[in-house]
Amino acid sequence: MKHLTRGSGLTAALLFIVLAALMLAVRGCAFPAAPAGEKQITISVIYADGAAEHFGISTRADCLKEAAEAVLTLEGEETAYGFTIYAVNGAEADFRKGEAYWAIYADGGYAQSSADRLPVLDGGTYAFIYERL
Amino acid sequence: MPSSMKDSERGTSGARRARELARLGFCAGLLFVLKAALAPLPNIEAVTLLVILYTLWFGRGALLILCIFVTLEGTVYGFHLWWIAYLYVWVVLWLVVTLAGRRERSPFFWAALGGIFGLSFGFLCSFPYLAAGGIHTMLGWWAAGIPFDLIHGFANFALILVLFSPLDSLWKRANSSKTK
Repeated sequence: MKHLTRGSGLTAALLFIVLAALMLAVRGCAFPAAPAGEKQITISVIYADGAAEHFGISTRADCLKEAAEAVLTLEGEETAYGFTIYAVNGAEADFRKGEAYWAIYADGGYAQSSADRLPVLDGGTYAFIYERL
Repeated sequence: MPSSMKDSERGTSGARRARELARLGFCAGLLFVLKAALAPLPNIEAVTLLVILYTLWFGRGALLILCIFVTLEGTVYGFHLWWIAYLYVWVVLWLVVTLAGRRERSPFFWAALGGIFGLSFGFLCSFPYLAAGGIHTMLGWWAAGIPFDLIHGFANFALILVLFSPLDSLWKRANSSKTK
């Protein structure tokens, strides 16, 4: 006959709270909040034909999407992975159609989150690059 | 033993098996429908609660439910990278519940376990991205989804804490009335 294990619920609950706290800490380290105040950043767009546009802007935005929308038109939708971009300035790269997508780069490296979750840092360089699948 | 008795025994056993299969199929369908119904609420789902209950009620039979559920998910939503994670992530939960369920546990325990599973869900699902893009892609994908994992964990905890006992009691009552 099974006997009720006392205390195991409390142990599990404690583990749950500790894990949640750890994950919050990891999130905070991996994605530090954007600093407040005016920030000078560079946003570039590289299109399918290789043509490029560069914008040096001053922004108070917290995330790249908000900053980029001052100089670009971004079309996309909210998904479980954040704001997914399907077109930049009317140039479409919809990965759902299986050909290309808009890759986001931050300071020369592939960004690890969507434009609406990428914090904007002073002096940062960001790029939207048309890439084929 | 007269052959007629053998036939009737076979018939009863066959009918019982068919009933059991139908019940498992119904449970898989319920899992799929409830997930779809709660889809507009990001990372709030009843799948974890039901997988825990199904595992406790049906044991290995729950694996068949999971097979049907995962196949339905892939058929309807497409066989993408996330589907590879679905092939093993619910089996991990089944295994943990099977091991933990060897002792009588309180609803609070199951709520905490469901919460831990919700918190771990993103990490468990990130392994296909390790193969697709390497360790940095995997960890980046996981870290970006942590806020959703937190919602998932706390939502699981609350849902299981509220619904585990009533559903389990209903099941026990339904089964005890069958055996009378």
